[in-house]
Amino acid sequence: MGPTDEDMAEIVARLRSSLGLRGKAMVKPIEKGALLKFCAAVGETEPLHLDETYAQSRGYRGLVAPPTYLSVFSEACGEVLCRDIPFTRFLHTDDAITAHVPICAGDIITATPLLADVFAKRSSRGTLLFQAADIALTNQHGELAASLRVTTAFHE
Amino acid sequence: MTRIANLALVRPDDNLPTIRRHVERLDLVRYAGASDDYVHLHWDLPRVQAEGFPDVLIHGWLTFSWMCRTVSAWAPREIAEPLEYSVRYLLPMFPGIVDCGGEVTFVETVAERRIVHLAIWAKDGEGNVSTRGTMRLGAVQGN
Repeated sequence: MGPTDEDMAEIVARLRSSLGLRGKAMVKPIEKGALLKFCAAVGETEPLHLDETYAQSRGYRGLVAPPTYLSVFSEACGEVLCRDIPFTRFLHTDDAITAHVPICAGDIITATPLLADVFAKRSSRGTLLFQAADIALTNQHGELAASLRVTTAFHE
Repeated sequence: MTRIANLALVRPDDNLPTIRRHVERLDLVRYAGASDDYVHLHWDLPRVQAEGFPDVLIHGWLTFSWMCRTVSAWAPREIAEPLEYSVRYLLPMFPGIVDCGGEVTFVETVAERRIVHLAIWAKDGEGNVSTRGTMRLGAVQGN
């Protein structure tokens, strides 16, 4: 037997009282070698992501990180998602990125997570408890380079 | 492969070329290493089978990467940069055929900058849409 609707409403209300709470930041340098390895793994062929001299000739500080490289910061969501719930299994349901300033090799990115949303929804898998984290990615100049929203559904 | 030269040439309902991949488990292992994503669902075959899956699951972010590649294979990164991009994972995907494609939903000019809105998707070998996404592309200055 899973949690009743009243149990779920109570869990959602408890978790929502933490909305906006920030978790511990993760700091990660953007390394050229790591970007090249990532490009090879996803089949990237765009020269801005692979050729440093070309990227600099187009006005970038260094190799431009491919759009989904920002996934390396998604684990920061673990700092704000609440695990004190009756479910241990989860599905990764949505990812969304808003880019503001290109992230390039040589940057040092600080990823600060925040609990952005909590809600419950019925589905064929039973009730799903969704938790979304917003992760702000700030570069070494203090600019908000991008934000990343990761949504996870916990279930029985 | 059709590559466009300028976002100004793009019209609503234009189709992106569909790109087909034959995905192997090795591709998932390589991605796990490159992205530091060691979630067991993507490599531990006996355990995922015990959990009821037919095979290891493709990382959602890897599918998303291929969807983004479909866009840049059509609109090169030096003329168009992704400003906002998102996906919803609808079904698990497994090694085998993965097709990625998309279409232009809307074009606009904001502060003299061309903006193109796209709907993007990934399908398995049977044509089931596993992942749906959107992307907003902005013209890179000077293009």
